[in-house]
Amino acid sequence: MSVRRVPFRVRLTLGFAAVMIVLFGGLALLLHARFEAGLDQALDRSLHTHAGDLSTLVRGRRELPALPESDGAFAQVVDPGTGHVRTATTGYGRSLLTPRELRLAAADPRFMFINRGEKARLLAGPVDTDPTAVLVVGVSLSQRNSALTTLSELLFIGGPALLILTCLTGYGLAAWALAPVKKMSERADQICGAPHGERLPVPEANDELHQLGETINGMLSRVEEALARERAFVADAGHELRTPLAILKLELEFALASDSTREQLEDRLRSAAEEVDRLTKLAQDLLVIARAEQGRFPLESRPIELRPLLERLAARFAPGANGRGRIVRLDDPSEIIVEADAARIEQALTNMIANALVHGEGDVVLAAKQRTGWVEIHVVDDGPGFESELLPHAFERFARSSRARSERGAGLGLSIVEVIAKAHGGRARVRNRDGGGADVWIELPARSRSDRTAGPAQASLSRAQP
Amino acid sequence: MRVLVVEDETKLAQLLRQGLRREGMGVDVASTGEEALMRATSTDYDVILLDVMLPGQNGFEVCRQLRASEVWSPTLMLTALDEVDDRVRGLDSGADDYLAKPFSFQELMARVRALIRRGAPPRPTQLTVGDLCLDPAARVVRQGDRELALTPREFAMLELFMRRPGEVLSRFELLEHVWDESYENRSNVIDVYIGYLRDKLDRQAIETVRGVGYRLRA
Repeated sequence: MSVRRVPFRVRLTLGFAAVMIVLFGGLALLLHARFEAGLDQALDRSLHTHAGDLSTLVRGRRELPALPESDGAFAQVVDPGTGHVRTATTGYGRSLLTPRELRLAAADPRFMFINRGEKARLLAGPVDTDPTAVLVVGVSLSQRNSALTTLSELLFIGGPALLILTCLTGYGLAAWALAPVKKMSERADQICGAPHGERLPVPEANDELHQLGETINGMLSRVEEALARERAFVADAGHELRTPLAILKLELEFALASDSTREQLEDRLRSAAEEVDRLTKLAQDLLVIARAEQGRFPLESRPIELRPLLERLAARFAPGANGRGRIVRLDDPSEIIVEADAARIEQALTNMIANALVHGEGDVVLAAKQRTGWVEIHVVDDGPGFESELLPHAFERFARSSRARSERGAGLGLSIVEVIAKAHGGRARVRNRDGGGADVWIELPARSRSDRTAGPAQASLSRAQP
Repeated sequence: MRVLVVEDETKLAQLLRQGLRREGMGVDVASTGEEALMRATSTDYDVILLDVMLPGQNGFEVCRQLRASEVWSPTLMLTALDEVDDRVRGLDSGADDYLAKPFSFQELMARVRALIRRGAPPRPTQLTVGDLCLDPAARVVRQGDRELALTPREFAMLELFMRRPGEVLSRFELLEHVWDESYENRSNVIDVYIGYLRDKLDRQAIETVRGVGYRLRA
């Protein structure tokens, strides 16, 4: 199993343990060495003291007193010439030094240490200038060794025990620290499909986990909103599709009823054809919106002269408008050129003019205006304007005023206007004019200028009436 | 038979009017919820066909208001919304049937005839007895402003009492309607649950009629 697949908690604990082993091992070695050195120093000091005491005791005497044992230390005075033990602590009658060592000790006025393996440590040297007396003091190392053994044992048992304890603590701490993550992932598991107001539990502490939780919850909110919009869109689209289908079905059913006259049949078929047209238009509009939403909205931009375009549109709508005693006319006929997709702009303006003709009243005025970095194309009417509650939602899909609901149209016209404006890097705006009537306009970037990034002038809301 | 068609789509409303007239029915058309309420409260319609997507108040709201103003005409919701949630909402708001667009006129007529057969007895979506108010769809019981927390069994029992206020219900009737046949031990379970209900409503709410059963004090 590769290291990456080891659970985070285990990795954390193992890393922690490795560091603890190095730290604790080093500490134990150091402790052992210091303890050993300390013991040796103390031993040496006590040997020196003892030797000093005994030197004083035996100095200048012919008859040497018996040497007392103190603190496990023993001593003897040896004649270096003969190797004869002149006096000694009870039980140490034989010379502790080899003849060579005796000679060396006698020759050097300083005392010298001699080790007898792990058993004893000796200190030997001449007593004053007496050539027949070498004082040997010694101490058994058994106590020191057993103290060191005990320390080693303590370290060997205590070390691993401590290590296990720290590992467990580390594992526990890691588990405790990761508990919020576990809770979050459990909750996340429960959220299947759309999150219906479900959110991850966020730990209270202001830390990375808190941030992570907040971030994910923010994402869930956005997903939820997007899904809600999507659902609303599907429901609305369903409604708009089903109503013409219902009419279509009833017309055809009634047409099939045997008692229909030829005229009735013709009426029914005409009505059915109307509904098919309505469905076709709806399907096209939905397709435009769906494509734009997926970012598939290819534009064939080229410079367009707005004036001929507006004149053509006015001429196209004129017959229908005149029939209802209304006029579609141009205002402010200055020459403005904008770089855009002519067909799309025409589609947008068609929707705007149709909207003004259906829902507005009076003359419909088309106007193009040049602003800094932007070109605006307005369609203005003299009707009652947008209802105040509809105004902020005018460009939303299927948004319709309560007045307009009983009329034809699915409420997609202005949505498409906005989609087209946005695809051009511009936007669509709407307002009710002070004197009454609606003003719907699109703002397109004037591409020839370099200041395209600047936003459309906010002051446009308060400018003079077109 | 007199039918009220509530539909904001003019063409569909006209088609329905034609079809229903050909079946020999009198048809009135309302295009908004307000108009529907006005017409339905002044005329005793045999059937109301109600579109859900109406301008202003939607069909659910109109239906609720119709029932609130004690218009018990059988109502068929006619709608383009066909999600389960929407159907549930429609029926729980007091509608008697639900038909999704597009529909066959024959099916619509069959449903209209079935609704007419059933007649128009009062069938409120919420039961009210004294200061008690029970909503079976929302599963909420209120006493005055206080919401009572009832277990499903207690709820079922109280609903039975509230459907027949002032009537004496025998132990057997209670057992039959609130418990099912998987319940074997017909001991004092009724008395126990009556006790629970009395604790939660108030001691005098349900009175014991000796030797017969229990009665909800109206």
